[in-house]
Amino acid sequence: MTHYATLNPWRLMDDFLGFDWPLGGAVGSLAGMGYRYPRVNVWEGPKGWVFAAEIPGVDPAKLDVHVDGRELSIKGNRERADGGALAFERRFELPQEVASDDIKANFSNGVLTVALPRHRASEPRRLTIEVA
Amino acid sequence: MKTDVVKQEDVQVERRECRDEIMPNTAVRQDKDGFLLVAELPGVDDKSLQVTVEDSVLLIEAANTVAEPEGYTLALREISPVTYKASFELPDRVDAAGVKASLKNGLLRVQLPISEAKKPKRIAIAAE
Repeated sequence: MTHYATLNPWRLMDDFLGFDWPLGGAVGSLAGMGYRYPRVNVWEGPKGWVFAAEIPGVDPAKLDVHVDGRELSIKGNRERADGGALAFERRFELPQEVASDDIKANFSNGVLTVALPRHRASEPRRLTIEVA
Repeated sequence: MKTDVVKQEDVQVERRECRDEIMPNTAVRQDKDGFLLVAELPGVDDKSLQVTVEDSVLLIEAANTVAEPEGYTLALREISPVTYKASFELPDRVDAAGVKASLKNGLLRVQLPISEAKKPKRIAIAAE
């Protein structure tokens, strides 16, 4: 028996808290399949993060990708196989701020890809100590 | 004491991409000209998609592409490489030669027209 209905919708916000990200596990398999939409893959690197979301049947012009501080939201309306419309929204909290001017988004074959570079101020920096 | 030497060749395991086979979300609608079958195939391009009709069976086979950006490590995986597979037995009245398919924004649309000969005909009543 599934209990998706009892999940608090605001748990979506818990996807990413700090660097202690769920690596597959319960979020990636069970809950992700039945409850969370769209499904995503997330990568992290020194430059930032890359999100890929499966959203078949969406008109890319009507896809709303929004970044506010550390929060990424993906929402829109899509056509389902049966012709019905389905509104969706999923939000993620990133561990650090994003350079919101340099975000790149691409939609191809029903997959949205968003590249989010780290905000410069949040990049780890090494200070050079000048010796007098 | 005897030591077993295991050569590298002996333990080589064939590396194969392991894809789960799943049935895509699919729905069929009907109108007067025929049927429209729509399947959700995110991540599938037209090169990795095959739609065939053989012996009144419509077969859809596709493989999605999951990007792996270089220089990044995976932090969360909900999308895996999969093979989408679905087959449907077509009713006799479908004109197999007239089947058309198109792929856009991750949705595959297969139009299955009803052959003219099998369409319902209105019989004119001759007034006497």
